[in-house]
Amino acid sequence: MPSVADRLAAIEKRLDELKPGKDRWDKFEKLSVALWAVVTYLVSVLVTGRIETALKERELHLENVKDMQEIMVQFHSATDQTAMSSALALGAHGRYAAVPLIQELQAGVVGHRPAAEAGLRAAAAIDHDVVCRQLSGVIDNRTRLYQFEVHESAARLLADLECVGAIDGLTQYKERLAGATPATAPFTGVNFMASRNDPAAADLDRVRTQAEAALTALRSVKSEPDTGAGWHRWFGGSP
Amino acid sequence: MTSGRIAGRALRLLAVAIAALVLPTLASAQAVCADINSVPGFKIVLDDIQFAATPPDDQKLLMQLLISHLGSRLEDLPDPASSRYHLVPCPGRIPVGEASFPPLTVRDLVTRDVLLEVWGDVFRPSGGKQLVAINYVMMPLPRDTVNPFLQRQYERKVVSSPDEVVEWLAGFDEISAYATVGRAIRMIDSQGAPAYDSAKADLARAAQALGRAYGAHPVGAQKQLLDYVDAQQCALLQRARSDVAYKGTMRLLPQATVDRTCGSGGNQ
Repeated sequence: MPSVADRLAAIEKRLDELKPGKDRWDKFEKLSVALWAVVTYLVSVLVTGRIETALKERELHLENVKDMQEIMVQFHSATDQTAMSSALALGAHGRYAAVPLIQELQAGVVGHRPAAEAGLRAAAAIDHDVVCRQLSGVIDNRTRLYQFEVHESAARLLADLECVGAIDGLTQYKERLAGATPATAPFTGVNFMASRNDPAAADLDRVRTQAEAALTALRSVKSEPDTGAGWHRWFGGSP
Repeated sequence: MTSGRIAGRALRLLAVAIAALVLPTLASAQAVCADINSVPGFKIVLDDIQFAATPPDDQKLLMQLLISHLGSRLEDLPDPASSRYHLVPCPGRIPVGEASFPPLTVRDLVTRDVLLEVWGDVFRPSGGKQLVAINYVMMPLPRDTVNPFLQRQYERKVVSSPDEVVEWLAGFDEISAYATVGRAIRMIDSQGAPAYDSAKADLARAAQALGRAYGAHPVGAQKQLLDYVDAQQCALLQRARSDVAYKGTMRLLPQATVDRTCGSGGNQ
């Protein structure tokens, strides 16, 4: 017969066995304190980083605007000969130059159009996709915000810059122009003093022809295998 | 930093540096001609005529006088109000030949109904003679068919005052003759059949005026322009007879009349 001491030891042993072990929840509870600290740290780093990036982006934007202001004034009053250097200097600001250059096209100063187009090409060398989006915005507009030369230049540039993302937009644009008349065209003429500034029929035809040529060019670009050539390769624009 | 960004920044710096060097020196040389967008109707753009050895203030006065004389003269032409010429002065603008007129710029000028651009030099009197060189660009003329750029030199005995030179310049028939050729071509292109009759009258008038200005022996570009005007008259007659949209009297012209017009040098 076991002694009392043995029986007590056996009972204690069984009692120990009956005690519940530390499950995962217990472990998590212990870890959670440390985990919270890590998560809070990561979130704060992420949020701060984003805020800093946004602020820096804003600062950069303002800096670019200040930087461009003088060049924009010079460009608008430049002669045909000096307009090109102003436009290229503007274009070197990348995405920030797209809107001012489109506005210069809208101003319709004769002799500035080749320069403004060259400036947009230069801007696209730095921020290809942004410039493509801005140009797509021109042909997508249906409120006659722009005169027909801006549309013509935008269509030409979309092709020149190989903005293959604009194919759908250009296809719809072409269909829209096919049924348009001078009175219903999505752009005005260049007779800025006229109260009803419709484009001439010949102007409408010019834009139609340009849109069609751009679409053909872009489709042929899209059908070619991607060899990594083009803007990204040569100029390292944003992918 | 990616190589793309580095390339972008380098490009930007380079362009800004070039602009900073080039712009201040060139920007003051010429001015933009903003009136081209604001003046309605057919336009003749008058750039600077440079009077040699004339102080800037006098130069300005002489240009104002020329603008006034020429403007009045153009207004006096017997044209209907809708197709009258408007003189658009562009002070400070001096094109540097054909290089100042790339095809896109010319097309934009034509869209704005600019028919003719004129600039030139009045040289210092020499040997008892006054020499003047004037450049003309007839915007609507197709470059692949005819040269729209013409330079003409005029000579006369020395005049007593610069005012007389200005009056002499304002009296050049060629200015309106070139503008008339341009107006005919522009109207046919932009209006089609409704403009055939006025275009025919313009071409006939221009042919006569140019014939008078060039004399019996036109040379090079002058002969080419005369031939072009004749060819346009012939083409217009033929087009009028076959264009169903045209309802005017040229439609009824007998073939013999058309053949006669085209046979006399108008079928080139």
